[in-house]
Amino acid sequence: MTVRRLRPALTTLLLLALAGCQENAPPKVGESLVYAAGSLQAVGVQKEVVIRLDQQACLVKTGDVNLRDASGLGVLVLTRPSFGWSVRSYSFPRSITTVRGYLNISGLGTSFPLVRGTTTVTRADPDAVDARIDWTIGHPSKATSDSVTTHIRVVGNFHAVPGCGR
Amino acid sequence: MIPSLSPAAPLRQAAAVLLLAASVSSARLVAQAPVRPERPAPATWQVGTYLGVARSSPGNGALGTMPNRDHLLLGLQAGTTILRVGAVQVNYVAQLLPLLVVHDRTAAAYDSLVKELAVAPLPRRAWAVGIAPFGLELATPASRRVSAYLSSAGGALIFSRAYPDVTGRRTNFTLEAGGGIRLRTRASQWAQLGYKYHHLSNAGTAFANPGLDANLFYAGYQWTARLPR
Repeated sequence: MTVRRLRPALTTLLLLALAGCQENAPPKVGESLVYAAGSLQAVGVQKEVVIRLDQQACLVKTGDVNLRDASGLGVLVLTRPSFGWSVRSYSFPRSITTVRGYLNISGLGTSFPLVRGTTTVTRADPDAVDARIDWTIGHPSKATSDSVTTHIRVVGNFHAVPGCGR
Repeated sequence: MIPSLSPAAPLRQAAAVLLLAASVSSARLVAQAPVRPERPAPATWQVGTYLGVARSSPGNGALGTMPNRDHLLLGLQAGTTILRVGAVQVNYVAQLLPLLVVHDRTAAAYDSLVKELAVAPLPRRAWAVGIAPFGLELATPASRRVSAYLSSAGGALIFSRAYPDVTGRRTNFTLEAGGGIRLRTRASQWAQLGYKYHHLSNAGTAFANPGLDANLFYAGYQWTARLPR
């Protein structure tokens, strides 16, 4: 087998090497053991959701906490949690500004805000945020009137540390 | 805060597609070359099998980011020398991978959450078969009692399900690089010990492209065979 005959294969391999590197997965920051599952209905989309938010638990400079899975698909954002922070029973409709957390699912192009739930924060300082969460998430924030059946439970613990956007 | 794909990603994928098309075209040109009237003489191949294991895939790997996966890999391989430069041989090596099992070692930690949510858990294991036909190896002569080699290879795997994430796809491409030693046990038989850094991902062909890396250690056995060149 000559080098000339191998050249197309090697070229293909090189291209795969360049294209194959993961590009949308976040680096591992912090620790999380969080599971999100349920069904959602956005406009024209019916989807079962199972996401392990196990890749990133990141405290950003705005004070928010991001939890992400390794695919970059699911991102749970807790808006400025503080010690003893607990949320119970939001009623709809409400503006996104009053909601203290949401789940963004890449590709669906929308965010799903916290409907009700509890977040027990045991530590919240510039170095780390520790918490136990149990949320029910639903209703796309982008106000699409026919998306009313979303129901996603998010349960787990996390230890978020600075490391992204800070 | 909210993830978004890099703006360069579509350009990179488009460039990759164009270059792939170019490489396919050049392959056709080679295929259209006049057929040689003489059948080439058989070549000496080193054929063999190996078993590799890897524990706890790195979450901050060189290419991949899926953590806490264990690998078990069974491989069949065949290699032949295509070039000699002094005491160094350049070998072409092809691999058939009849079994790859990847186990999620932290899946059990989610059992209580899954029970609480009353949903089906993500599968703990995935199986795959594949090939790695694009392999090159730099080696010292195998006729020595102990020989060493550096190797790299690329190929593809087909999994039992979308992997390593439900948003990925069943087909993944592989890259690997490593090295090892061969210990000659008989006139034309060798025991083999090696290490390779193994990467798989879907080349951006699915919704998400999380890569999975592994520090794979393997042991194998090889012997010679006369096969077509």
